[in-house]
Amino acid sequence: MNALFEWLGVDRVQWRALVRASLRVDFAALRGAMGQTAAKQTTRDLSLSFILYLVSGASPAVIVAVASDVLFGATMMITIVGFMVMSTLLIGEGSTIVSPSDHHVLGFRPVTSRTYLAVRVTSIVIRTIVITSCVAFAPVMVYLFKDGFHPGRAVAALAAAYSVGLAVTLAIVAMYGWLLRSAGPRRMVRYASYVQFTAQMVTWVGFIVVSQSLGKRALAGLSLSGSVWALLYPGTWFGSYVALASGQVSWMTIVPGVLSMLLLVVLARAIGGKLSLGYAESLGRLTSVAAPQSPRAGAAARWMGVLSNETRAVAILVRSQLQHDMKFRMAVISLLPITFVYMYMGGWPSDPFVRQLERGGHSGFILIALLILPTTLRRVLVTSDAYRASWIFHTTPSDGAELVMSARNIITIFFLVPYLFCLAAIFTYSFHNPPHAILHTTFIGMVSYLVLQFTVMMNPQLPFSMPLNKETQAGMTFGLMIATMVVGLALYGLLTAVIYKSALAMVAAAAVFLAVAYTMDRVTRRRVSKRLANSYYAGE
Amino acid sequence: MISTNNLSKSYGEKLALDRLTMRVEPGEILGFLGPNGAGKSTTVRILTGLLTPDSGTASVAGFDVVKDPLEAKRRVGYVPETPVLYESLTADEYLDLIGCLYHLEPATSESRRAELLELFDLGDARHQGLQEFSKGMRQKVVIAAALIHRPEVLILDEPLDGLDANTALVMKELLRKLAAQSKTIMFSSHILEVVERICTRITIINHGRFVTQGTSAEICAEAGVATLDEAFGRLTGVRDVGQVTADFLSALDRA
Repeated sequence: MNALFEWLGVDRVQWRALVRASLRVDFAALRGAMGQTAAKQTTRDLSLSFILYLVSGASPAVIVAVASDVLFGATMMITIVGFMVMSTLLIGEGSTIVSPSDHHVLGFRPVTSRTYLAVRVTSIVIRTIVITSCVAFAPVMVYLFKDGFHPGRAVAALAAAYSVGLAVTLAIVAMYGWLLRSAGPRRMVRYASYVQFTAQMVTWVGFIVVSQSLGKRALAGLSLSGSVWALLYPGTWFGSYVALASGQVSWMTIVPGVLSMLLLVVLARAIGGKLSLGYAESLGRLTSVAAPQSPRAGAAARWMGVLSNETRAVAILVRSQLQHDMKFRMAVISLLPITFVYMYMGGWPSDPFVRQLERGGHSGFILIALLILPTTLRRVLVTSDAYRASWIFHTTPSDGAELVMSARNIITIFFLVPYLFCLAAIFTYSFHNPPHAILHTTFIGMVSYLVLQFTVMMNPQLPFSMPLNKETQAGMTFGLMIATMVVGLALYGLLTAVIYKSALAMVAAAAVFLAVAYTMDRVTRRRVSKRLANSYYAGE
Repeated sequence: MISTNNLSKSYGEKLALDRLTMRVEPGEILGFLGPNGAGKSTTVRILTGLLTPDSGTASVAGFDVVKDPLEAKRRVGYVPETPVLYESLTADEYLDLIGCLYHLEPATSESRRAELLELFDLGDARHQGLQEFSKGMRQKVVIAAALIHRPEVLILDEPLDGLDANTALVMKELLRKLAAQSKTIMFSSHILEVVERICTRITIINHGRFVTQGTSAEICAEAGVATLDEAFGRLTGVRDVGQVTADFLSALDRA
């Protein structure tokens, strides 16, 4: 082992100490370093994330079980594992990879760039291994028991999953390294957000399009074994391990297998020179000398004068975060394409007051987007890298309940309502019936507001007061998407099957909505006051 | 006025504050001293509403910090040890935000923040992002934020940290003037010379317990030494400085 470290030019003692420290820092909340409440919440979120990753292995398991062609089944499994790893790293790890803090801690210590590289890659690869193990568990089990007991095939499937996880990780790290070199550190932080956003969207949209396009019956008949074009897709390269282990030894399986090895070597070499302490140093300079901002005259826009003090305070923070915090801005922007993704999934929206089958489209999927938008925005508005600055909410006589409700109001007024206007325009165009479009928009808007109110009531938090937890961020995103899909489709069914049937039902439903919203508002205020009275300062 | 009565707080097994009783009168600048881990920050956090005590009471300007926290907070200006700010805001926006949280009228808030930023020599940097600010400039913003609502009570944790010599001088004079206006000031610091020069009275705590209080001269007399440094060392159980230094050097030689 020592010889390997020596050959790699890595200081083994430093490597071990730094990897241990990096894991301790990453899981600090879990160990109670941010208070017992944060520890409990992180434990709960982390457990949920693990379950979600395990559950996400169900679809590749079904594909593997159904597919008659081994190479095709393995390629699909690899695609889904790669997708999960990429999404998780893009959602949660981007900030780590571009974090300048390492330089502040290690810049003046006798740590070589190679050791630093080894530590960074190790800590990211550990995460990849955990995610891959969870997602690949179900399909590997299918490989183990499908058509008899095949341990060799299962081991090959596991190796393929870990290899693709590693390749995706190395590719993302190399991408950040390349950005730093070509764009420079200052632009890189900005570009990285856009690249991250684009890659995330391409990954998601690609996955949804592929999964929508392939039916179960089609899966059973699909085959890649005879297709030369399949060799162009890297997923096939890793999938070939399973085909080889199944006894399909031919140039169609050997060549891609070799290509996968070459890819790993090329990616490893690509990051070798890029992710170093020099890289961290470049980023570190960013925080030492901040980019000059053009002065912004006037603390708050005149219209803010009409808001209550707490709402104005939250509005000032949201506005500045939107202008200057790339993470916050990208989180908000990334919500917009979701509508189009769901529109694609459901088809061009059809009039829900007319029978669905006549028009073909299903506008229920838009309701899912409408549920994701406010709940995600609320999550984004509560967490922040600057959560330690929230001490001001605890030391000033501000009304905590009012601050929490202000965040909800800002989401409603500045994000939800404009979004509803856009939807109303789309529905009007699509339904050819403006009253139906307005009614439908109003009802789904009310549903969306109630869901937002419910999330606030269940977990009232002050704005920008909770630490970002990258360990659970991706899992929570997947969980939210699944939960909103179930709730959204159920609520849409209720709207179309019951409420839209008569004018009386609609009036009654509107009255119930308003009553529930009012009751939830009262309950939330009481809960917030009670909870904040016993709350702790997360930056403690 | 600030007062604590049998104030206790534990973090798990560790007792951070042990029945601490103390009092700061209006017009007084109290130097709040203690070695690392003595319980100073815990006391300050309880008084400012960041922590709740396990037992005992604490009041600020006549309001119990647990039973009547909002009334207490309305009357306190707080400068924390580490000035953590929302860095995406400008100095002006940050003070505007603070003004909102203290329910200041927008016009009042605007005039006060202009005045305070000018006083702290930050007039030109008023519309610059806080992330561009040096440590000292950030400290000035935090001090301005603590003063913007004209509090009756000031709780300052290492307020001069990072300030340049001129601003530190202004700050010391400002504290004296505020005390003369009957404001209550609690000044927590590790720099004994500064405490000795500014504070009208000093309280020393150790291991979460009250040790002594009085003027610098009274404390020196009680400890039977000539300087506050020596008195602090003796009262908080630090061994002979010469011996400690020798032990350090010997340990370094061994390594």
